[in-house]
Amino acid sequence: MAATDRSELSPTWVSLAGLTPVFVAAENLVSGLVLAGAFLLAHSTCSAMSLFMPRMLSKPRGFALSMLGGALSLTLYASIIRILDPFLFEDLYARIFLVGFIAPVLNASLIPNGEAERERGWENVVRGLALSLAVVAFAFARELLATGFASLTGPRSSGSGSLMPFAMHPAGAFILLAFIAAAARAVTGRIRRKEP
Amino acid sequence: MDTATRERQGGMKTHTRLPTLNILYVAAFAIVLAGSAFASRYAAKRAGEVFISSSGKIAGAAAKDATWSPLREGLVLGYAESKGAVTYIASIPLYTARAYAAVTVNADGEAVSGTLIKPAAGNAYSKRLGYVIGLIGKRAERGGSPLDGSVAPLVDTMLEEIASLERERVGGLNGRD
Repeated sequence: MAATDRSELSPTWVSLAGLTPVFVAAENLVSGLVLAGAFLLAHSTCSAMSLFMPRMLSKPRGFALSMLGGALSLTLYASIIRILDPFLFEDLYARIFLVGFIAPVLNASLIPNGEAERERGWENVVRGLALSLAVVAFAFARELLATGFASLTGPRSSGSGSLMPFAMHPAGAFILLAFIAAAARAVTGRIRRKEP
Repeated sequence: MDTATRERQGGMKTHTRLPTLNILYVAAFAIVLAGSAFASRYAAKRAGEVFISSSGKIAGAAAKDATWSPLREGLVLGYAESKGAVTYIASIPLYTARAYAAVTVNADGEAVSGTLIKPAAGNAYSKRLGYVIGLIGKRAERGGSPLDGSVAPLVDTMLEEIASLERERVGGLNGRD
């Protein structure tokens, strides 16, 4: 049973699991937007670089160069955040650089195997966009559950509208992730059972 | 054109294409690297200006010609200095958020005033932290809020770190004289 479950995991589910550190680090809408932007930039840079890497380059060197490109783009991104809001940069800079080392970004840095995989490279870019939207949606849900309100100017103190006051804490993020994963599994299971 | 010549030309093409692509890669890397370095330098300067203007809230008009020195030691981010007045900026962690405080010290290294320059968004302790920091340098009791158990140790740690950094700074100045 377990083996069957593992074989059914799609790359998107695997990427979502690899994205867990970002889900946990995105405590509110503002940090979610900043981290989703960082993820999208690093993921897209690494995907594009690994796709257009000269074929004569060995795989480890190509991987290292893609990672270097991702790190450079994150440095540029962090500087832009610092120019826009130095306090926001102080809050988030360690988490921005963490994004460069999570599984989906590492995976995107790998040079594609063969022509077929190379042709499907654009899917990686689309997947990056979908995953960053998932980060923003999750951060929005966390702030909404914790304070009863979500705002681009930062979270308000939790008041009477708060449904899950600890949603902004790391433990709250894991609980919320577990609920979402269980719901998604139930829905996909139901859909599969309906299929002839 | 015979096959051998065509193959030779094809081979030549490959040899000229790959170095061109490599040169493009190196050029793109160099441009992004230079851009990152420039942006990083500018961002550091801009952050200094923002911190100085924030510290100006308590340092007064002296903040106009102040200089920013980054430290990043413990809770302290750095200090703004203007005509002998020194204002430290500290970042105080409050569970999932961070508050930022400015504390001015006099020539003797004594903390004479403090203010919360950026409250921790959405944190219930932030208001109380602002009150306790606002009492720095005033001869008033902190009062008896049940939140002080969490807030007061943070303020005391910040003041201890500022005192230690100020001792180092003044010690360094005396060493230079």
